Amino acid sequence: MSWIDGLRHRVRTVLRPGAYAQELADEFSHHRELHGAGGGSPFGNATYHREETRRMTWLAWTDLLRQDVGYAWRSIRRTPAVTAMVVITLALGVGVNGAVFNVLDQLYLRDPAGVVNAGGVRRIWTKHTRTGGGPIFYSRAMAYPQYKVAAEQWGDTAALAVMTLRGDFKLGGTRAGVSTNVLFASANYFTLLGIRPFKGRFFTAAEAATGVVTNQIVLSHRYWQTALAGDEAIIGKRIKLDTSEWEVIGIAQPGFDGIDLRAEQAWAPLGSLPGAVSARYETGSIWTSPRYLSFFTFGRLPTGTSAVDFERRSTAAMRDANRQFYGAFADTLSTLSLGGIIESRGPATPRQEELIITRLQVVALIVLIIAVANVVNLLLARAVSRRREIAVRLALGISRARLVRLITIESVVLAMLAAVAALFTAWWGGSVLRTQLMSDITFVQPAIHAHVVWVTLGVALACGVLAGVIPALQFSKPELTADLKEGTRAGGRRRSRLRDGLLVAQAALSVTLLVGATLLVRTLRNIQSIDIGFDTSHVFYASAGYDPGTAPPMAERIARIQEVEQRMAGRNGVAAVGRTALFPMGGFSFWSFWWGSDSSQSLQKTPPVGFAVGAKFFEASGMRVLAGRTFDDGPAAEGQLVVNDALAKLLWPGQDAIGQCVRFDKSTEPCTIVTGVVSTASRGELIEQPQPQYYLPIGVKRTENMGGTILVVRTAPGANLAAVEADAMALIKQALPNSYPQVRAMEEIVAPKYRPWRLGARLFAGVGLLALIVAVVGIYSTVAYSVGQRTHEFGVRIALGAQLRDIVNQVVGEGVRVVAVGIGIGVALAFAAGRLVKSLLYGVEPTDLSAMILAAVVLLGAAVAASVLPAWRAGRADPVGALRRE
Amino acid sequence: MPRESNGPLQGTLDVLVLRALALQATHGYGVSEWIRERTAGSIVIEDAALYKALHRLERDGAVAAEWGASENNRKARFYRLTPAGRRLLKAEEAAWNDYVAAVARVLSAT
Repeated sequence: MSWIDGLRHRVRTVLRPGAYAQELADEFSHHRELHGAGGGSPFGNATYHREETRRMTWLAWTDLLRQDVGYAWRSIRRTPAVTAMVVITLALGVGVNGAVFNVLDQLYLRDPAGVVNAGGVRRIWTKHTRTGGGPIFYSRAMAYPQYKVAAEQWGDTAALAVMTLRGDFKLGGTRAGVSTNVLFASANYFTLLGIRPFKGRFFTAAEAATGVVTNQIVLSHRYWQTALAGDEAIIGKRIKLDTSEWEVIGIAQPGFDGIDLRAEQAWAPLGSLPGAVSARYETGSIWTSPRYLSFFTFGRLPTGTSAVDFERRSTAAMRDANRQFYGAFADTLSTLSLGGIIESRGPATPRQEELIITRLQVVALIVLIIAVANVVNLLLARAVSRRREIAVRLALGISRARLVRLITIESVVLAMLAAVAALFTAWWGGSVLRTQLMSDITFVQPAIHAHVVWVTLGVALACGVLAGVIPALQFSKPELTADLKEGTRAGGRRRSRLRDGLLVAQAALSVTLLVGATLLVRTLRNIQSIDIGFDTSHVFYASAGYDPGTAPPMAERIARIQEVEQRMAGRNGVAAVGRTALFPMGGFSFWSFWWGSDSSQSLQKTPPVGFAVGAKFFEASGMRVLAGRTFDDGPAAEGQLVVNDALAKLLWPGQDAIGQCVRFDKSTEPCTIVTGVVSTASRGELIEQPQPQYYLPIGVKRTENMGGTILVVRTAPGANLAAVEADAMALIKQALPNSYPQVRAMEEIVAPKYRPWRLGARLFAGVGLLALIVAVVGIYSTVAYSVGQRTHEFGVRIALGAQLRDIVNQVVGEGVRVVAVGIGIGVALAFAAGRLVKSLLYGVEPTDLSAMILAAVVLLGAAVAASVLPAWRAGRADPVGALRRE
Repeated sequence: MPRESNGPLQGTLDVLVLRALALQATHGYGVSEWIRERTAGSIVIEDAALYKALHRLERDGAVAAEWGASENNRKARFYRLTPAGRRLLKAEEAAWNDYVAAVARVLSAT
């Protein structure tokens, strides 16, 4: 095709100009030779003609481009201060976006690697609406019998996969072994996703059937490479995970790590799920119990089945089934709905981290707008000072198009410099966001990858063009004679409405961001002042870990730890020591009970939850005994119970809870007597309604299987924490020689709960500060340039008797007036945009007036500060010089 | 990109070059010789102008060039017409004939 030939020729000349020149010379000399033989007209000036011929190719264009870039580079180097300012501003603006996009991309835009036609994969979600009116939440988890119900409605069982995840197996069976997440899946897991084996094979439907244990395993390519050193002969070998052996039958295709945000390292047949055969629940085995809510499903809708149709039918079927499974306490309002393969896209309500990251991207875009406005302003200001140069060029006949191109290329070159810096910002910022905000996600891609690079470069390029074209268009149409005569001196004569407009926009957006930052910082303060009911500062928890399969029997561990508790009690630096089965805010148990003629199962809205603790737990963890006393220690505590304030008020409103009778399991069981009421502590979240909770003693029949091997230690005031911790670890090691003792400060345990709040406040404050700095730079440079252009005017005014104060007042007043307009708009914007951040706030309204005032005052102060220096300089203008130039 | 004016003179040169190449692929000298012979020496194309025209036509995809051996067994750049070049020749021929006819009508007017 001819146009392709032409294009190839064009591209070749541009890419290999040297080769083209050589060919041209050859061609000419060949011509000359033939010409010598045949006679005719000679070439004349061959060099000139070669040049002329060359102009016929694309080289003419690249020559010009090279000229323009060279020119731009020289002019950039002439003004290093402006260059630095522009590059830094753009690098921050673009870099912040790159960093946030990095995480956003992973969460929302990236289909899991390797999946064929990922758009057709549907996950089944359940929207739970507790019949009693509890909180609505979405979950993908279902019990195996529930999966069966869904599969029946799906139409084609082969098109719906079911799986369950078991995390943190240790490779090799030792505690230090590589942590391995294994997904136990039906055989259609791989076929539905279109994943192929890289080596070996996947398991068959027969091998994955429930009730069949094959202990086969398929490894991810990455895991095979890293944990098993890419052993070529791995197929058929056995690997040890915790205490059991698994036969490797295949390696999945490279790049596939499962379809969830947390990567999987291996896949095993569903039926081989550990414990599936032996474990029994009160309602049956894993495969028949409606209580084992650990299975997930996804599939491809069979042709002829619509999503809406499935949702309607399956919801009805599931409600019927749930009534059978759970009896009177079934959630009869739950609905099933379908979501895509990218989990963050819903339908579940976004997690707080997701809220932060999406809001942050909006904020980052605002920062970018501010940055671009700033850069346009700086370039406009510089264009003013180059008005004479531009006029000369126009007078000498440069075309307007070429001039616009010249100026635009300059800003594009600047933007490309900024892009390099922005890539570093994006890489660094992206890594920080990943580890700080999204620590529970396995990021497979490096912090900087193709998506981020393209977005960063693209955004930088767009900013460069935009920031160049605007000033270029404005200044390529000057009043020639006036500009040639007056040059830069007349610059301030006409105050640029465009520049004022940009300044207003900058101020407005900065105020909006500052309001946001103030709100989030205040939110963090409110969160931190929430009383969670536990002492966080002088308390640590000590426990013992074991290599898989080597832990002594539970009864022995409890007994040993109890000895350690008794020994710790008298030690130096220990104020109190107790025991518990679970870490605080780290889980709870349910036991159903009766009080009077009512069952605890009727309390669906706020179901009471229980904990197994030692008698000294309350004192050591920082809970207060409000009434009565704690239960006794050891077997003497049989038949005793402690409730918290919330439960006491729920069960016996207006009565004394002490001495009340509670019957566990059945209304005919003997009484468990309430011995005390303790203060209400957080059940699991920082923000929660007071949750009814009760505490059963460790060492009684009912808590036999609950454990109770975690020590909680409160140190005495002024005690050396590290020494007490070391003491506790040594005592545990002594009592349980094959254990690995570990300690965690209470602060460390609750830190993850505060982290999103803290990070949100920090990020928004950082970005707000960034916006403030950029805005101040913008105000300063605008005022400074405007003043620089008007030295003449100020000189004359001073000669006429104006005082320094008058000039300063005038200049500052001019600057502040523009900014004040921006602040007004910004506050209005903040009001309007409040809804966007509402979900990130606690204890403060998005329309909080004091936050608005604070932000406005800060920016106003910054504006005054930024214009005082140039104003003072204006006031020092030399009247003699100014008049002489007249 | 700099564009050459497409006045009648350049059009003449282009149509002559394209016509020459329509018969057979040849090198720049061959084109120039063909035109001189065909016009009995009354149109002599300046060599520099010829190469400008050839390279411009190549840029626009009307002709394609490749290296081959010439009659004196030297390396030479042979130009051939592309399909786009053929279409261009047809259009230029028609335009040229119209032009000649128009001029002729003016000159023969009484």
